Amino acid sequence: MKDFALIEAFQAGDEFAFVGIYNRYKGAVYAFCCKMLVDSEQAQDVTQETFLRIYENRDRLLKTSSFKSWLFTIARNQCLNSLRRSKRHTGFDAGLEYSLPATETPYSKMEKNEQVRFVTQFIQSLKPEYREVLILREYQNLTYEEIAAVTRSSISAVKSRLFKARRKLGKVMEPMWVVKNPLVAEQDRGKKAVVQRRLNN
Amino acid sequence: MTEHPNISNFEDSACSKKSSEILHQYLDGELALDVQSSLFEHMADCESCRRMMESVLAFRRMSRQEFLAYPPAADDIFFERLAKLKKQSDQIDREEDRKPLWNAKRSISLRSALALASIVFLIGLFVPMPSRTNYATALIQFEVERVQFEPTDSVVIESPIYHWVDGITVEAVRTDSQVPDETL
Repeated sequence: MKDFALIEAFQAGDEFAFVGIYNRYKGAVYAFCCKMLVDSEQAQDVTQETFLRIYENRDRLLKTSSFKSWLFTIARNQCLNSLRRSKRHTGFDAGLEYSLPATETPYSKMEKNEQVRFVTQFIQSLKPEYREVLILREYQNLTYEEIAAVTRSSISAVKSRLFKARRKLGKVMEPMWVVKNPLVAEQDRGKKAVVQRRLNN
Repeated sequence: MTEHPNISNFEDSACSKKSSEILHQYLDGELALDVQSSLFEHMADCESCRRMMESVLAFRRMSRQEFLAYPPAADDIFFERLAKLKKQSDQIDREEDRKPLWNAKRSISLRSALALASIVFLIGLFVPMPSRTNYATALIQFEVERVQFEPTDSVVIESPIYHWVDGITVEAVRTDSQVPDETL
């Protein structure tokens, strides 16, 4: 069943259609909230709150094409409220031990947990306005227009934030691209400290 | 600790802003096909762009390592919350009706309403009122025209007269002589 039919049925009062929408999008919304909040329990709560808001405001649903944007707009607002409440938006916690997923060669020695930890820590180090565009682009595959609609900003602002977030990513990952040689190998132990310092700055 | 000379700074790279934007568009799948060849030509010579691209692609690979599944237990909690919400929306809220009128929410405060009323009163004091005669003449502005018709011969046509008493209809012919009420 397509989104359009589901939404129409939902607006007509079909409860099963709402369950269909919930089952279809709960994973995406949960992933977005998880990455925004960096807290799975909070993300569950915010995901539920998002769908409850959708249920309450079903009359405001007008176009099927904008449903995804509308959904993520609500999720984003809920996340920002939650961040504001918990004051998590202060940025990267300098006390966190940063672990770069590179030891000897760029990727071969990386373990899954290290990679996940690296991604989480990098996202956590970003401010919410940069974090949201990166997550919507990299995890949800939203277009620039859709991200602009979700974040209520212009396309150029979205591009600018996305590029800045990636530039920071590039800076953080610079030590990974060092050509391996004995001299560099001696500095491997110091790479984590370098990355830590750059993130803190 | 000093950084290795191989590490280039992305911000200080000679790569133009335009090239960087094109690279990001390519990474986001929004770059036209005819521009892609020129991007690859540029990347063949530009190490910083290559690294940037590698960084983003590596980040994507790493971000896909984590599978974020919505826990099934959370579904139960959600449907409980939904049921509670529906129950609340079904109930008619009479709390507002039960509140006394003086506690009712006002769109404007009492103080501002009083201030507004006093301003209107003061303005009313200084506005010149029209005199009584002027007011009357202003109201009567139409002309009265008297028309005298010539007298004409009128014809009276005798016709039955119907009297309706409670529940009884009586038909009688009209005559010159008065019929006493007792006969009816």
